[in-house]
Amino acid sequence: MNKLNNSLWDDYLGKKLLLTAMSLALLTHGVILYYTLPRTYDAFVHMFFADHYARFWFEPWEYRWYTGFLTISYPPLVHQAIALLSKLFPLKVAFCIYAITILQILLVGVYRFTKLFFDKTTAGVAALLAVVLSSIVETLHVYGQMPTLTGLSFLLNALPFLYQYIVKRKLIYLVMALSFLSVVISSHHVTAIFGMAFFIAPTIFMALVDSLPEEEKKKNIFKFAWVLIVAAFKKYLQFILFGGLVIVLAVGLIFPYWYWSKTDPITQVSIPHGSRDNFFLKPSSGLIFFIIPLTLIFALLPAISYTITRQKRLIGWAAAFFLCLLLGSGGTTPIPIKLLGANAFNILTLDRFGFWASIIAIPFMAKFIYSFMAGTVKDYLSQKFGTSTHFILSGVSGFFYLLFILFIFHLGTFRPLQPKEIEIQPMLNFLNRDDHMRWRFLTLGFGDQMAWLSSNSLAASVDGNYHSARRLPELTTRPVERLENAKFSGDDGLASLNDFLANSEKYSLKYVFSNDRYYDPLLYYNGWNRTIRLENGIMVWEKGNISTIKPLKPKEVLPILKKAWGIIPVSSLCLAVLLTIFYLRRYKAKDYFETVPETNHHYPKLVMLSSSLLPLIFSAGFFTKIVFELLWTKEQKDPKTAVLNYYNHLDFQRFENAFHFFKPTPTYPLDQYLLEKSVNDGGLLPSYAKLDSIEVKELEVKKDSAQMQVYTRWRTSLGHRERMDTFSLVQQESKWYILPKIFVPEIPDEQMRSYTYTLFKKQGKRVISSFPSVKDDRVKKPFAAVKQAHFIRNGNLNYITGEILNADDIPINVSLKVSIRYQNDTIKDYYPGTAFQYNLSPKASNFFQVQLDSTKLMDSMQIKAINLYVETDVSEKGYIHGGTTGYTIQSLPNDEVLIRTTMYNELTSEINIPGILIAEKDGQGNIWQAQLALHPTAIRSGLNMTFEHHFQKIEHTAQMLNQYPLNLFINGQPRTIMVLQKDDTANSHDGIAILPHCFMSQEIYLQ
Amino acid sequence: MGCSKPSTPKPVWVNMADSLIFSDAMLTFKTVGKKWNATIISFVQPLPLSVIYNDTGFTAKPEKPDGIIEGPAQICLTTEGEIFYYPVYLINKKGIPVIDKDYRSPKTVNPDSSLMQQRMIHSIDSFRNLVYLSGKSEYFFEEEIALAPKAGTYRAIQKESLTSFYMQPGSAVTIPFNAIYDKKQSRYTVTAGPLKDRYNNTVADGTRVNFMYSLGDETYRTEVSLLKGFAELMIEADPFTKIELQAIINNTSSKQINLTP
Repeated sequence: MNKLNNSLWDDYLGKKLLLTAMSLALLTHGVILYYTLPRTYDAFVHMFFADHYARFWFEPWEYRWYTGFLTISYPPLVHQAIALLSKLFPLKVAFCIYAITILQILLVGVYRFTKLFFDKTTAGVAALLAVVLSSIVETLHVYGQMPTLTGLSFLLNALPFLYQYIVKRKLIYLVMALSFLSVVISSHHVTAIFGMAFFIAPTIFMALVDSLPEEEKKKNIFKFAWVLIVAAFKKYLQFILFGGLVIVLAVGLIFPYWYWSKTDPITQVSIPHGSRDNFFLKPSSGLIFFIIPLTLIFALLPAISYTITRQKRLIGWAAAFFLCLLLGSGGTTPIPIKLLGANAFNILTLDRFGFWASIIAIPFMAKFIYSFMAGTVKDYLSQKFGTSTHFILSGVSGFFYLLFILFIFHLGTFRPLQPKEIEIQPMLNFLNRDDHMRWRFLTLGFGDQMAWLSSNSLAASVDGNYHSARRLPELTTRPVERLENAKFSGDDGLASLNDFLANSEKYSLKYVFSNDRYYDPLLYYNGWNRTIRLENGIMVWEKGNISTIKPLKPKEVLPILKKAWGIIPVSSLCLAVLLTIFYLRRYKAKDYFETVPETNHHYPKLVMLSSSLLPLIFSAGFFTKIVFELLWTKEQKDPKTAVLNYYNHLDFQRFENAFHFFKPTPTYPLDQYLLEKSVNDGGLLPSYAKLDSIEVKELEVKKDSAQMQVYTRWRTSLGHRERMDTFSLVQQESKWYILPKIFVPEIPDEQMRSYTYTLFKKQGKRVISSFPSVKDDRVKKPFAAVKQAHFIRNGNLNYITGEILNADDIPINVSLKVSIRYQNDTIKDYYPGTAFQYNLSPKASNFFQVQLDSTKLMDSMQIKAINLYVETDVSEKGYIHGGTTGYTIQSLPNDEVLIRTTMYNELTSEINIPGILIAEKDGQGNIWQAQLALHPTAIRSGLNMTFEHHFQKIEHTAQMLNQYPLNLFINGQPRTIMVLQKDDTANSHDGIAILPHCFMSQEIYLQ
Repeated sequence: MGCSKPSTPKPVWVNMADSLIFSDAMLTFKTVGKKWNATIISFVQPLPLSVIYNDTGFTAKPEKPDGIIEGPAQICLTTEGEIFYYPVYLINKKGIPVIDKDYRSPKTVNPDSSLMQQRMIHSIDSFRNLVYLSGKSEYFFEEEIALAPKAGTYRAIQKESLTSFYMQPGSAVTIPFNAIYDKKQSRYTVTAGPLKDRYNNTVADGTRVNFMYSLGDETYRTEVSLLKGFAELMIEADPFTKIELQAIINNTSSKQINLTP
């Protein structure tokens, strides 16, 4: 009777705690989720998939990303469920409703999972703990990994049924376990696969042990193992039935996925992920992927380790826990790569193992916390240190831990993982009007919000946010996650982006929405023009002469597989719900007073003390570190630190912070600093660069003064740039300050400047009709002519060089394409990169160079014919390329020349990136090569600037190959190349001819 | 057999005609029964008719007596599942306004290449029926015409902007060129222009004029856009340095002049 009373009270309290946990989750996560959502890694990707199913339920071909991919490459259930909800609610709201529902199921799962180990009150505490467990909070609010959470929540709910099935051999438990596992498989294949090892195997092991008589459990480990093997053999039919059905479900439920992964295997270069880093070498990765999610686990590790290793029935769980913890440590030790193999190690994101470790640990943490709050640990602490001490310790630990959780809730704000939220409506309006959807677009600097834009539009992008599905060689051959954040993928990222921007015709890529001016130089020098700045601040770049999207044949999927994909996974969820209702009504009551496993409530003193204090030490320590970093870091403790921190603030454009590194003086206020900065700065380096590396060398250090030399390496979208600066510092009140350099302003003579621009305006459509073309309204293709074109071979390098003329009376946009037909009738297309001016004034001409393949490759394929295609279009802008350009040439040994350029900016706009297009010509005027050379700092209006470039001539080493026929087509018509003329100016300058080719960021009507 | 419904006799079109002016049509049919629907099905669209019954049958007339695209059609009468057709040729009333169409190709003519233009004329009425050209018994007229070389915007049909065609100015034939020294400001004002093509048209605005000049060892290039036939450049004078100056537009160069204060 007493036991029944206890059981009743325990059940009442456990359920009360569970309900409290569920309510608390609704109040906290439910309220905040909608706001944390835009800052998560993955939420928008899953919404995009959901949008796909909402639009095309039975069609797995998604044409909007990567020129098309199959959605059967990811289990569909989560996306389909959100898609169904999105028929009733807006997509974002539907996602939030789904997430909250899953969180509630997860809490029930944690409660039921914990009941496998401990009593119901502990299970209730576990559910409460799950609401504030940092790993779950991070997975939901920082990563937005809904399939992982869905898989886990149903997996945890499946385990008690599986346990019961092994122990009691009742078919209903098998059916229930399988129905929940079906949902896991249909939601997240990775959870299903690894769940077998880390959750299902320990459950089976525990059930086997629990089904043994008590005396058998007490045998030594070898005898115990033998008894266990015998017991397992006795239940072999059960295992075969369960294992066989699980395999059938795993294959059958998401068969199209397996079919896809077999027929179209992932063969891309691995994309680096912070969870695979060595956390000692990269503490920032360790913090995000290991420390933050597992803080409480580490704090309570003594208690967890003690409890999980005390009973034989928990051996499986102990192995799974420590193995997950080890794998979650990423590349910190060589063990994970050896255990998983290099292939799996480089594909998997290892933080998920840490996440699973934290889930396994929940019951054991809950047990200790319950004991700390109201059990043996409390009794011990109260007796030893007094009740008030225990009370204060509980309060302070709880307070700091909750602060820590609040920090994770807002991690995306403190350490932004995504750009600020972008209003997408202006972009949708842009895509919807004037048939802009007939071309592809690309976003830059959008983060995962690019997926949100795609979710709301039917327009197609060359980029995407699900890299496993990529098949374009330009993407798969480089370790680049997305084009839109190419700058974070180093040289590979920018090379990949450059390929797409230069070869945009190949992908019908016509529009770029840019939210990051870092990419402006790359866009401009690849022939892109700014069209309009939208109301949300996004700059739209456009490239002329791009063909509309060509029809692409989707990858074939059998109709029956399409139907299966649309019906079976979602049916598994419906079946699980129906079976749960059936189970609750028919069977649950019978198990109501099930006895819980007896557990020992004893903890050794050391475990009690350490696990009681460590949460406080960890949480408070973490906060002390944060506060220390914010308030008490001595940024100017020595000259080197001062210079490094000064550059750090500059790099993140915290100019006011940077200013405080200068010696305080009334003659140098913040205004003066910003003014001088605005006058001196500007150009490729300060404005369009990110600090890549920095080295500080002490030239002279005295007691109160120092001279420091700073070498900086900057990453720009057009390659690396290096710079050397020298700073003088003085010490004042134990802080080191930089002395401002003497500022000698360059001032133009005039107080006001004038310049006459001739601007053009294309009238646009004059018949207001949605009909695509009205004959009388068409503008003719402008005339262009090719003055010369040559096939040049310089060692292993091959290119087509030449000169092109705008023969028309209006400014034009020109596109070039070199098509080479090889002997096996394959055709390869090549496009100019940065060595070309894409916009030309009337009667202006410019040089070009189109890079081809290597000599080895081209010779092996044998060239049959070379076609040069020129397309022109009317242009309104982009034909002003810079100011007056003067140059001298100085011959250097080994066919090298030094080009000294003086550029005068007579325009009314600052020239942000001064540049020249250099051509090497021979005596007859043949162009041997063309190159772009840029200067890193800007030229203000009315000022001069001189800069130098070394240029390697190739005329004496390269060959001009005339044996291949070079056919010219202008606007589709065959044309002949003009008669070659000598260039007297080049001849008098060592064969060097130059054209100004500058970028001006301010007046977009000019460029 | 005994239960089958007796078939309705085909109505007699009393005022039958080979061609029918649609807007004035008043079709009289002699028949029995009061459940008739009438439509004229032309080769492009169905044209509904309203039915007015009388003692001997009914009269059908257009619901919207308007112009139509002329051509063969069928009057279609239906009653209780039975359909009867009467071939007819639909025409419009006379006196419908006629619109002339004048297509030019190319719309933009550049005298550097050719002054010839292809012209095609045809006429349609306001209901898009092709009609004979005025005073001729043919529908289309095509000719190749040599345009006058005067640059400008012309209209093939008056008051219709969309029929405009454009005679562009050609390339500059020569580059008249002079420089004036301004002693007070110690600088040269260099002017290229007026630039004319071979038909004496002023060369197009925006044409790139490259001023190339040497100043000591350095060679300068200033790109100036032409405006109203002139391009102007200011060069600071240096009392000790001779400036050699030339203006270039594509392959046309001016004479070279030397500037000394």
